[in-house]
Amino acid sequence: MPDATAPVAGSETSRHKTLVASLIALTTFLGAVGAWRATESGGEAADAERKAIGDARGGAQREAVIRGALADIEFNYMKQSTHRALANQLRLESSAASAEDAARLLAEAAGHDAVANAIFVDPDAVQADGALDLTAKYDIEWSLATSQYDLDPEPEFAAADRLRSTQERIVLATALFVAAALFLTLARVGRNAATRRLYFAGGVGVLCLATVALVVLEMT
Amino acid sequence: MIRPAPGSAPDRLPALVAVLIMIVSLVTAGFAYLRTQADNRVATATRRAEAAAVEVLSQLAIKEREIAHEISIFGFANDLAFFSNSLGQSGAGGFDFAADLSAAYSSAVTQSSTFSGVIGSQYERSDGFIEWARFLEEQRRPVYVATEVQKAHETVAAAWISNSARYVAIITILAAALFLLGLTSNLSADARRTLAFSGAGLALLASLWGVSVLASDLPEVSEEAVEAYVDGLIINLWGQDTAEFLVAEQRFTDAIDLDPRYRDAYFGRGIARFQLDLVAPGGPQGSAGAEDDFLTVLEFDDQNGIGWGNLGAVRFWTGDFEGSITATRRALELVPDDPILALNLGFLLAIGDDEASYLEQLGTIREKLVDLPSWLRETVMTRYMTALDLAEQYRPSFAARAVEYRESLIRINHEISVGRRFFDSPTPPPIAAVIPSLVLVAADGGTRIEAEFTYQGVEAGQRWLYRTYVNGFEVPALSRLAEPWPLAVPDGVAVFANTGFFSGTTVRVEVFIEGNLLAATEIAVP
Repeated sequence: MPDATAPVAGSETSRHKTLVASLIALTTFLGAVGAWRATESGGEAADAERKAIGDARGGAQREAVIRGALADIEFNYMKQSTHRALANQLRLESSAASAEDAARLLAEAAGHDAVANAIFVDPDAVQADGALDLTAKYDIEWSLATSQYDLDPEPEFAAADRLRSTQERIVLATALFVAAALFLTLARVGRNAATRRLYFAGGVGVLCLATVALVVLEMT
Repeated sequence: MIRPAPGSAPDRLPALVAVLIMIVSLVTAGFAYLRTQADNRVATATRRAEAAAVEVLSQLAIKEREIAHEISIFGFANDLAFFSNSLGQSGAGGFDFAADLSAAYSSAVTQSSTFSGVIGSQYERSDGFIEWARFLEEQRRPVYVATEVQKAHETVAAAWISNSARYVAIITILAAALFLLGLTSNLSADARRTLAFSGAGLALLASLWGVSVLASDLPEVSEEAVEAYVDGLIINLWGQDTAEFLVAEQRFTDAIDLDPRYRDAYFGRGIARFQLDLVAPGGPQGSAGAEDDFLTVLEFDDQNGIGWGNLGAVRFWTGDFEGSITATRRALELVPDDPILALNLGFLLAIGDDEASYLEQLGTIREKLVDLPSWLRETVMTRYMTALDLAEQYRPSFAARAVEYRESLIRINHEISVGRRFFDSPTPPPIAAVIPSLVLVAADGGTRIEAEFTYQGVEAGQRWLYRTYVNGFEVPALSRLAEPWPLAVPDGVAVFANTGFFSGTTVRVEVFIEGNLLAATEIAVP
């Protein structure tokens, strides 16, 4: 480093004064940039969180709606299969009954068949062999919901965490710029040459450190 | 500028102050970073609490729907089973068509039952009894878990908010220290030294405080602890016997081991230990463990009214009646509307020697019970009668007082109920009439019961009624609705009778005039 800090006969050279003033201006500017970037990161994190909460809420709503629909489907299927079982058993009983009772039993069976036929069971929830498959139905509905809406909050939560972490570090860098500005100012106005040198060295060191930190944070 | 005298040692203070200013500035920058970090932890925890709140509502909707669904399926299968059984009885009498229908409906029962989550499951006991309480609470488990996770994140957020505020204070103190250090350049040597040391000292204190804040042990969310807590909570809600409450106690202990600051786990373990004591063979002896747990809960938060109330209940069974009264009174200061606390205090006063306070408390109990909806009042009374039964059974010295207290509570409860239903007010205005005696006599092998009572001071036009209870349950068919007094006025003797009673039952008759319960008595039907 040139002997910029060395005072000549108890005073500073005009080159040194200019250098210190320039460094103060640079530090102030970089501090302002840091403050702006920290605010931006914080704002983006808050936006990501709002989006994530919205996704979570939407996902929860869709989940509740789908589960409710599945319960309805299961209940309808239960009623339908019960009426069918009843009709089948009535027909079975009719085969060994008297002619009069058989006619009544078959009429009852027909009635239960009619009820079973009138009950709607979503075909997406029924396998080829007629068995109920609520998992398949759930998968279809959830797949549809996620194709229409972003219902996964995790990516936004992760982004928010990342942005907040960046914001914290930028705040640290900004605080270091403020400290550097203070040191450089003291290096400019101090009355003692030795302390001015100390302040100058400290100010430049902290400025370099904060600048490198800010650049690295912006690049990552 | 003050310069050192020729030949004297150079003044190193300015250089030292410069170094101090730089160090303090950098330390301040570090705390600014930590403060931002604390604020971000608050935001993250708040966000997670919010997400958990969404989960709570979602799971609540889903699980209550699934429970309703199960109840519908069970009801459907149950109706079919009753129908099938009834037809089967007809069929057994030789009616073939009914027998055929019964067989068919039986197959329908089998078919519909396959969709039930309780029939034929671990919730159905060998005697066919369905453990509905257990089923319902276990179904609600995701709701309880999400609720606990939400609370845990809120606790974390609160801790970080507190830390953030501390960092602000630390930064402010460091700024003051910088100000003092900065002033040294314009002052005399002596004053400069004083300010330099003051500034340095202040900065040192602030830094030490900051380090202690940084090193402080903040709460974290332990999902394992939450799972263990919810296991215990669910058993506390449906458990009946020692084995079940032992599991609950262990799960709460697991939760506490994982998170020693889990206040609700101490509370839950206190409840489990209290219940263990109540169901212990030989009756309750008082649980020191439960007392310790509730004391721990109160160390966390001495404004926890239910914690104080539970401490009072535990102390009753350990025999510390003074401690019990103190804790129960404190609980009532914090939760004045809790009816169980009022009932507990009533019994504690009943077994004491302050009759005036006891009678006053009965009035207070009445006021609290009047405010409750009927279903809640009945639930509270049923729960409390169980506790009184234990006191009567296992604390012989208080048995007579327990019986007397129970009778007072039954009368209060029935007067509120009858007053609300038949006299438009749960709190009837007092009247001058009295019924000095009411005697029940069983006749005709116990199937007929005659009630004879004397009365005094009844006025013409006053409405009266009587209610009959069999084994504690009101039987409207054996009771009379309100009607104008049909007997002699003002004094006399009356007799009324009812039939349809069974041997081995306990029959209770109460006579009311203008909503005032003036006489009540019971008889065990021979």
